[in-house]
This record gives sequence, C-alpha cells and structure tokens, in this order.
Amino acid sequence: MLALKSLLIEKGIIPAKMLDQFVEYYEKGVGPHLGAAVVAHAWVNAEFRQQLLHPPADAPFKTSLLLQDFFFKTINPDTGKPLLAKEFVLPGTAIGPEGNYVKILMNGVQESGPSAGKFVHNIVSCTVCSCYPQALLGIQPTWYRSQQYRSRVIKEPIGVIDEFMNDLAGSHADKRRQWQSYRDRIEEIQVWDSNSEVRFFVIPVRPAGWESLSEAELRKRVTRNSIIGSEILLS
Amino acid sequence: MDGPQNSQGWDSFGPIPDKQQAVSTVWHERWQGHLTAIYAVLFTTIAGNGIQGKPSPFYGLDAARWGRELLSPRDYMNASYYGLWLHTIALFVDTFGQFLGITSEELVRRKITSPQRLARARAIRKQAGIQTIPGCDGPPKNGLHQSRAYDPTVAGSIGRIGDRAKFSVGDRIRIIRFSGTWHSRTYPYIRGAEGTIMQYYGLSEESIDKFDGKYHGPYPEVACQSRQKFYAPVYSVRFRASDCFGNVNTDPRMFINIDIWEPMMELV
Repeated sequence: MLALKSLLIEKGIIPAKMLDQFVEYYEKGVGPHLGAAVVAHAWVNAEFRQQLLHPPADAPFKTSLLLQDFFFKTINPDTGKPLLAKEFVLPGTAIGPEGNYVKILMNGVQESGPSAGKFVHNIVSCTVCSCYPQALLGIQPTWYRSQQYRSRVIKEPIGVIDEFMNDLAGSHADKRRQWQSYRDRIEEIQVWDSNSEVRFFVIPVRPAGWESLSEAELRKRVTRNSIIGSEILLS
Repeated sequence: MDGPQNSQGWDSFGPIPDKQQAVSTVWHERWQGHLTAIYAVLFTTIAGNGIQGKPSPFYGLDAARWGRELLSPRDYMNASYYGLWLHTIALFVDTFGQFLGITSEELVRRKITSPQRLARARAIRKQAGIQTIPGCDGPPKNGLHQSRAYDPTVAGSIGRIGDRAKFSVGDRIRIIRFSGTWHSRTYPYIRGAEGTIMQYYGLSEESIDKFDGKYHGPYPEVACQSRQKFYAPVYSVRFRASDCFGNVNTDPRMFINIDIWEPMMELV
C-alpha cells in the first residue's frame, strides 16, 4: 500500500495533502456521534421524526437536506461548535460521502405506512461489499464489511442479532431479558440491502427508563450498532 | 457478474468478528486511511472532477465494484478487505493506467501486484468479452439494456424514459432471470423472485452539481464501463425472505428490501 501511495504522489496523481485531508475528515469530521445526535433529536422532537420518516414523494431524499440543516445549526455541547462544519462537507454532497440518498427507518411499533401498528425491527447491510451511511456514522466497523455478517444477515437476521446481543449482554440476566422481551415482540423483520446509492439509517427503540433523560444525555447513549440494527439499546 | 462476491445467504462463514469494535478505532492502521482516500479519489465523483484537470478513466463506484467482481475467485476469497481494493486498483491500472501515466509493469516492479494475479485478471476479462481498449468506451455489448427499448445514446432520453416509469407503488413485480458479465447490482438471490414495489425513488442518472433531494445515482450496468449517461427508474422493492430462500427454514416474519432498476423487472 505504501508503494502505491508513494507512486501516486510521485506521479502527481494525488497530492499528499489531499490524502491527509481525507483521513482527517474521517477521524475528526464524522463519526457515530452524528448519527446518535439525529436519533436523540428524532426521539424528543416528533415533527423532526415525522419529516425524516416521510419525505415528499417527488423528492424522497430531501431528508439529507433536513439533516444538513440540523447538523449546521445544532451546537455540540462538548465542543461548542456546530455538529458538522461546513468546510468538512465535500462539494456536491448534502452532508458528506454516502450521505445524499439517506432513507430513515424506525424500529418499534410503526406509526404509519404499510406496517402501521406492527412492531418492526429493521437491520441494514450491504451484502456484496460495505456500502454504509458514512456521512452519518463515519467509516464502517470491521464486522459490517465481514463476509460473515454480509452472508448471514440476509438469511438469518435474528440469529445475527442474537449473536450481537449475547456479546453485549454478557452474563447480565436483566440485559438478556430485555433482548428476549424485545425479540418476542417483533412482528416483522425488515432487512435492507444497500445495493443502490441509497443508504439506510435506523432510529432504534428508546429503552424504558430513558424517558427523563435530556437530549444531550440520550445522545451519549445511542450506539452505532443500534443505528445499523444489529443490536438494540438496553437500559 | 456472478461469483463468490455474491455470497448472500451462503452458510458456514461462522461467527461475526469484533462485534464491539470501539468507535475510536476508525482504522486499525493508518495506511488503511490513506488507501481509503486513494480509492475514493480514483473512483468516486471526486476523481470525476478530474485528476490534474483530466477526467479520471476509472468511471466511478460501479466500476470499482465491478472490478471486484472481475477478480478471480481465488484472489477474492484470499484477500483482506483492503487487499481487495488494492487488487481492484491494479486491475484498472492494467486497463486504463496509461491515462494516469502508470503501467502495470510499474505496479509489479513495486510489488503492488504480481504478474500471476495480473495474468488471471486478464484471462477473466478476455473470457468475459470485456473491452480493454482505453478510449473505446461504451456500455457493455452484452448488457441488459440492449434487449430493451431504452437507448442510452439518444439525446433527451431522460424525459422519454422518465415519463414512462412503468410501475407504481403497490405493484407486484418479478425480477427477471439473467446472467451477464457486467455489473448489475441485482443479485442472484432475488432473481426470479416476486416482490412488491414500496417506493419510487426517481430516475437513475449521473450526479449533479448541487444536491436537490432527488435520486441521481448512476445505472450500474452502463456506469460500470462507460461515462455515457443512461437513465432508468429506480424503485425500493420488498420481498418475503421465503420467496428468496425457500420456506423451510426462513423466518416467516422476515422481509428483504432492495433497490431495483426498471429494466431488471417485469409486472407479475
């Protein structure tokens, strides 16, 4: 790889500075904290949630412009700066790479749509490689692009989530019970295979007991895996 | 092109690794970040804006994905995730490198690829009938669009095709059965299966300067090998998982959602 990098730099095909800027973007500009902020805000703000879930039919990806507005205007209390700096957004994109065509899904009882009233669990994959909403979650974790996840999630998603939850809950009986109770409620499992330019993003179920938490506190508790749907959040 | 890249539903890969990977681990090694950057610059719209003022010969992400499909199964299964990217770049340099001023010999000399791997990749392309003459761009000769009424070369085809998005939300459709050496993004596990159109995304077309909330993704079959524009309606389609994998061991609660371009399906 180093040989390729030096070859491209020597030939002037890619400036070294551009490579560094790119790495900096992924290390400092984006990450799961952005996705967590979207989830927390969607939980506490019903209007924002409805707008995310129901974009206009003639511009189904207005969602990304709504997210852009949210990121630019929301101040991150940890840094005192907007969640996303405008200079980090690549030209031609709303919020960054793989962030133009974002479709937002919601786990739990559906408020409307073809599965209205049903308890639905959504889980996201890219079965042929690793397409992922990078502008909202950063670089994909190793497990997401593993052959194991890609081959299995499309056929046995519950088995996959069981495996994740087994890891996450460990020997905590209460946490195991929370997953078992959630699993028993599932009436539909929707697997999303990211084969076009559309990237999927899941609003997980807000656990019981988190009702009194502030948006800032909620933001810190939303995990990357729960936004992909491979895990649920536990209180 | 069908191969081990389409391993959806294959058994025996075992437990998923590193499920609780720390969020702070963006890359395990810094070179992975640089390779991510190189890949993006060479293949995506960033490169589309021109390397040194020239358009990238590497077409785009569909070309990059197709490049992976063109790797021999041996190279594909043996490679690490980032190794696949290196192999794919080597494959494209072998075909289009002269536009960048790089040759495959240089890649071999610097041990970025091996003569054996290059030979395997060339043999596969030859067998697949894929054009390797730079400059002779064009959609694949054996592509699906050839058998349909769409003409990617006709000016103004966007309006014509856009006007006749054939299907509506709620329609039952069947994915056509086909095989081809081009890049379809329509995987074997759904071919022949019946599903329901859940959403119309809009018209697949090349990217635009300023994002407007409408769908502008390329049409993979043509974009994988050509800069020519081709427009096709795109839909989100939902399948019962049992219609893809059979109903013996499939969870009856399970559905699969995948995006499909109009030429890939027919009304039931």
